[in-house]
Amino acid sequence: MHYKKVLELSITVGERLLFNGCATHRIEEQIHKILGVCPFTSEEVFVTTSGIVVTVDSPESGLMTMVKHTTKKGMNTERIALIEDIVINFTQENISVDEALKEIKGIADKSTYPFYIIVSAFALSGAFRSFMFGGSVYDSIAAVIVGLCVGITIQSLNTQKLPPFLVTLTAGFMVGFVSFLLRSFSVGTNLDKIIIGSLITFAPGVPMAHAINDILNGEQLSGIIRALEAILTGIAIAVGIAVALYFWRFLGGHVIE
Amino acid sequence: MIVLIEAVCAFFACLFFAIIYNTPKKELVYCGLAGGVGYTIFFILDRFFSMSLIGTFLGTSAICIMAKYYAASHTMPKLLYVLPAIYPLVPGAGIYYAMHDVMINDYAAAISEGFVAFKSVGVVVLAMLIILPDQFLNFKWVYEQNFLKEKMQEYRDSKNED
Repeated sequence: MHYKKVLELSITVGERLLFNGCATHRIEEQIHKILGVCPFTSEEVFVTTSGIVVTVDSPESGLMTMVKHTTKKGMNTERIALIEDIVINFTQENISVDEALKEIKGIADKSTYPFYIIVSAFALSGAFRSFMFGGSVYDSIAAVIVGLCVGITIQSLNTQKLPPFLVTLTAGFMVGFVSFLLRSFSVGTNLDKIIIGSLITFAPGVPMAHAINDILNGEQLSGIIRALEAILTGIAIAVGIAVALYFWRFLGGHVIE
Repeated sequence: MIVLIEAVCAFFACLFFAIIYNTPKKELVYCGLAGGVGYTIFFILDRFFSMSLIGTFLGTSAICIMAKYYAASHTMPKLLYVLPAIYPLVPGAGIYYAMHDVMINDYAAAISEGFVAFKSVGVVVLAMLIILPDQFLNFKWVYEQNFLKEKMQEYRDSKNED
């Protein structure tokens, strides 16, 4: 038995899952599944949204601990599905430890959608949402334009190593400024519908639900970290729009509701 | 008519939102479908019966049940379908209005808007918490049927090779 390799595999899987936005209790399940392959006498797994600790013990291997710290996070459900597939294959002994490690490292570079599709997804999702809020068709068209600017901003700033707060703040600023600009050229009729529609694609509604779901599932620590992230995102958006408002007034524009 | 328009809009909104979460291409339509059904239930109950919290609860429940069915039949994680699909139900607009009220120094309105938003997030999570666990309604028979089908296919393939 390759005790060390199995431990390394389990912590790599945990790190990749965490990196792609998986829920922490789900990650613990997966790690326990992998560790179940070896006859460990005791296994302790502790996962928070910022790091993983795994300790195992058995007479053959001795006491082993591995810690992994992660900071940057994204959301990629396809990679989660692929990694869980590999875990199932590994536990059914279809593939060896080395093959599993290699495959998981291969998944890291796999990107699902090209840049322009994600940007247009931002735009179109915002447009439909602004129509659902009771905006007119012109509001939706304005929301498409705002959404394109937001998508380009978020996607291009995420590849730089900027703090997430700053990225969201810039995106909020773009939403406010471009909406004011479009409204002053009378594209669209309801300013708040345009802003809500294009804002909601990165507003922290879904992360907030994810966070409370974690807390109620008994993962208080990681739930609170996620909730704090969601609140910070909300504050960043508010600050961004406020900055846009003051900047617009500074330029001498009027805000038409 | 308006229900149909809202349903179609919710379908496409969820579908494009799922792209932002990097959902696999094959599953996009199902995310959209779950979101459309959930939002339609919410919309009917909210607009015609003015029961927005019950609507949110039932809509999220419908989403969770559909997500569990798809997860069993496609062997994918459940949250892959749930997260994009609850996107029209979580109160992004309420959070925005609360932030807007803070910006114009109307703190009383901000607090009331914020609590309404928080209540609806709470109801969404409550529904997820009650419906999502694997212990019941887990569509095991779908999973087993699929499993059997795959085994049969493998058997046939091996026979063909011989």
